[in-house]
Amino acid sequence: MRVVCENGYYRFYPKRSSEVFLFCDYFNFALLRKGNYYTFPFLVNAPDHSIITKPYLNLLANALYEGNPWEVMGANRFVYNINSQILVPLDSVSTVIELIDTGDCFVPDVTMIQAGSLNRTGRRIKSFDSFFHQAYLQLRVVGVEYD
Amino acid sequence: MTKIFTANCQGGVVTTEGLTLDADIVASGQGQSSGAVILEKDHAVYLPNTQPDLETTIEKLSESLGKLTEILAAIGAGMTGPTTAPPGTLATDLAEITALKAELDALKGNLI
Repeated sequence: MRVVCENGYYRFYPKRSSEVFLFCDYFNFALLRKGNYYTFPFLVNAPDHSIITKPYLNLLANALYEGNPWEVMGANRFVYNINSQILVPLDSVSTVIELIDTGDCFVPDVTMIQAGSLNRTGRRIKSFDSFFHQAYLQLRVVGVEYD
Repeated sequence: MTKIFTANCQGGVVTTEGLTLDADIVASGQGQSSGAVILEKDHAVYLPNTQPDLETTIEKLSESLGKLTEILAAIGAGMTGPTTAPPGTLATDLAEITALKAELDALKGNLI
């Protein structure tokens, strides 16, 4: 299953519906369908615009922006926190992870990358493109965008 | 993708849902107005609704023309003999037209 995280907004693209079930069962969280992808329930109704000081989900927006939810979240520097299941400021994420270069992809030392995590050199990951290998229960990262 | 909101503008400050927006105002005046904000990505533009101003302008012009018609009719009615005296109401009528002109000038200054 392809896992895309863009500016802290997670999108899941399963090839088969069973992939969603197995993924949710393994990680013990829910995913809901939105259009041609799945995402976390909290993000399903993420607005397509933000106005400064107006609530954007659980945070007050700090940017005037319209676009796809991941673009709006990027403009506001918000990311979805997988553990707390709410939005948090990008700069508040303090998780440090390592991306191990296997030659044809990167494998993180965590099962799922929290957007905003820092790598060993202190660079903050704001987006990534990956595939979740269900047989190995491993995330294989093919692209990373840093803040 | 573009978002459109109803908005208000007063003194150069654009607001929608009670929130202030940083929007370019497509207007030359500073009068209070209602209109719409068009938001695309991070760029917002405020478009005022000019219909009320247009209606007011037309009303004032209509009143002015009506008053001019009355004055000319009074002048014409008095032109029955060798007298050169103006109609008795001329000064008052001219004052009313002057007042209407002042209102139009004020409206022009507040044009949105």
